[in-house]
Amino acid sequence: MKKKFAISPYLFILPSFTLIAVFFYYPVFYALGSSFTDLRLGYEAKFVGLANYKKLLTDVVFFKSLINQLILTITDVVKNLFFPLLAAEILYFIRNKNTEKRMKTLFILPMLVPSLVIILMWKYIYDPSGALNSLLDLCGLGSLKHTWFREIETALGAVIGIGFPFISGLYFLIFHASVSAIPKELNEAANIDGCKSLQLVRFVHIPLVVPYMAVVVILTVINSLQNYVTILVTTNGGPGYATYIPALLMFKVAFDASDIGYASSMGVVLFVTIMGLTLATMKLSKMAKNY
Amino acid sequence: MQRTNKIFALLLIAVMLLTFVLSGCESNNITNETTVTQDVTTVQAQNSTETTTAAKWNTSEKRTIVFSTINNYYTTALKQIAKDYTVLHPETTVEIEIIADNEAYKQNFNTKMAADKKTAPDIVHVNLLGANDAAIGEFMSKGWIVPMDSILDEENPYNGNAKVKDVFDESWLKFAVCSTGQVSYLPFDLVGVGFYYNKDVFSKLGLNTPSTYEELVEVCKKLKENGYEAPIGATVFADFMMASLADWNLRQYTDQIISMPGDARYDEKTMIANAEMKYDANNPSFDSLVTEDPEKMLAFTKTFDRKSAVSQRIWETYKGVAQYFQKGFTASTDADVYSQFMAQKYPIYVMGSWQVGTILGDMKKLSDDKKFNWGTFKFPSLAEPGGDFQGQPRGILIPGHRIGLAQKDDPEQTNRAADFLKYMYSPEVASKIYDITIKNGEFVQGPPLVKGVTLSDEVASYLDGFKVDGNMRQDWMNVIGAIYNYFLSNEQPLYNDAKQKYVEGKINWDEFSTTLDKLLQNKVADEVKKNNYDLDSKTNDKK
Repeated sequence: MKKKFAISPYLFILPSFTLIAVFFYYPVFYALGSSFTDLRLGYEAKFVGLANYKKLLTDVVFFKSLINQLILTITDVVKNLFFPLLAAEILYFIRNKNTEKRMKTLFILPMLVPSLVIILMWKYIYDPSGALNSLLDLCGLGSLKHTWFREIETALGAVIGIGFPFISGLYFLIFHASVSAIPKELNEAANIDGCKSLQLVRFVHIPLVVPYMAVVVILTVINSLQNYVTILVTTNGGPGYATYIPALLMFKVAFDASDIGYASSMGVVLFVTIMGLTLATMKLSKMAKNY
Repeated sequence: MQRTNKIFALLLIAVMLLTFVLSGCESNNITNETTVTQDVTTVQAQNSTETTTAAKWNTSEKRTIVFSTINNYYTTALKQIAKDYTVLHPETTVEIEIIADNEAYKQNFNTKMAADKKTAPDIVHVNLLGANDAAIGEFMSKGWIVPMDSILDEENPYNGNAKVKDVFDESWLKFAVCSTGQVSYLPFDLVGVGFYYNKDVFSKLGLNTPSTYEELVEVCKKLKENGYEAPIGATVFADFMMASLADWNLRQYTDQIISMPGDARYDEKTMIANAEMKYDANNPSFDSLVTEDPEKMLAFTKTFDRKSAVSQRIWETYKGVAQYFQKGFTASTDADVYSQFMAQKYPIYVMGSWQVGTILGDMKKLSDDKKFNWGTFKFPSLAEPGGDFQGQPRGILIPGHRIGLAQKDDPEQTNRAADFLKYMYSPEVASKIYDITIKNGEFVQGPPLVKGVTLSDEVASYLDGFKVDGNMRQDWMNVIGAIYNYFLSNEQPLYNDAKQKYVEGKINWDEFSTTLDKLLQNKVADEVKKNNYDLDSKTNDKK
């Protein structure tokens, strides 16, 4: 029997697709096209072939920004995997349900604070006469004081330190939900077998949480590669180019120097990188799951 | 049920399409009441003086003109005079659009002008769009900025029908001539860069304000010995200190970087002063009326020896002082440094004259035990200049707020915006802007340039440190280094990094000068390509 074609679902989804096409796919293809031109705001674009990509290969700042990005992304992944999972596990072992609920609320509440406020708060902490240096003075460690965001040696580390203790609300929620969803029977069986808390986490919880970890890794990688606001607000890429990342460089080249063609080539490289890393993470997660 | 769903989905699509269509429509607030343009007479009374203005627009059509500015740029006063203007001209609303910072300002203007121009601001701070004549000339060549030459010759109905140019001193208007030879803005006030210092700290330690770089280094040494970790708080404006040295030495080559008879861009009407210019080491204003040629400047930059003894001396003098700057000075923000000066952590502070008003305002807010006496001093000289450092170094006191008009494809909009500028540049309204600004504790950039506007003695006294004998040509700095963010966006960080490392002694002069030369050669090559130059000023390069 021939199925009747229903148009309604397509009509419902059409507006969303139209918006996605206009605001996502069109800019992506436009950027791809622009990356082969010398487009500058206010000038006529000329086709330059792969010149922008060749320039990228010899761009010292772009290369350094890639290294910085790699460091930031790896540390972001570690921060977002370890600390929220640790918090979720600690919460799991709290017997008193009321205390657990209260603590959960306390972990989630910071989600309500706009990220810009948190960044600005860290700017104050790292200020030459801010909280961190005052604390070091108080502890008699004045020699360790720095102008954290302004010194080549400390700037990137200071950026990585933003958000300590890194128990991000969203990732904590993901891990808390995944740990809570582990069947009680498995935990009980492990207990009967004489599993201690750490062994329970290592041999029962972590293997079951792997798919969730993959989600966290994908979200973290995408967010890390796209987010340049933290750097823009705190160090603006400096000192020198110590904290530049590709997204910030692309933004500056596009809107400061109006060199849209070159910035587009950076955007394309960034897009391909995000896509590649996301696919790789998904593949790894699948492998881990099968294992 | 299915039918209802279909109708609902179709309705949704219709609403979306309508939204798209509407968003693409004209965004200026135009009320199409009538399209007939007529000359009307608006009679207004200002201080009992009747002024008559013939409007060059359709007065029955309501429109909004946008004056784009950034925070603290006389914003309260501008809002007030915008309201006052609308009382005189109910058909024109002036919107004061406040943008967060300089970077966002440029982006806003560039992107909107590159699009359809319709949503771009009508009145802009040209000084926020480009740092030098060549950059502004580029905007002029693109047709994004209105040449003000003819407007300057028009009558100003808000100033007893005197010509618009009559409120300016001619020498200041010369600053407004960009590399195309056209006037690109109307100057509103002067701005300078110099040193601020904590008078209480200086008198406690028995220090005098330095008049030479050698004395400045001695002062810094004493401050450091007395526990001041960073004797000088430096911002990007510290580069002007070096620019002053570069100008002092290189100004003798001015004839090589200005348009001369026989050059393709030479225009006898506007550049006669170029042909008549004679370098005089003891006349700090010898080049005040000349027009620089961007192509010649690039050619000079390309061939200049960055490893020369002159270049090395300038950079070493800078390094001598810069080692007393705060750590990581190339990455410090103005706000960071200012707060440390106000907290008395940095006894000296390099900044622009616009900070005078802010310090005065903030000092009033401090408790008595936190207040301190302060003053200003100008860039020093060298104890033993010798060599090619002839005469005296020049400082910088140039037009600060440079107000221009965006060149839109709508003459009526431009006429309205130009009329608002005439209103703003009448002595009475300009005075009002200053009065409101000072009353509100906002910053006053520097001495006013509109004739008939004066500053209070208190404010004027703090601006003493910015008074100069002759203005430096800051582009000379771009021959030995860079002022502001002169380099290509992706290479500016390399310059900042190298400069920081050179001052900290992490790289030597040879490594540093090699980096400098490479960056400047790249910059020249980019400009040559962008403007289709051949570095021969005799040929008319076409894009």
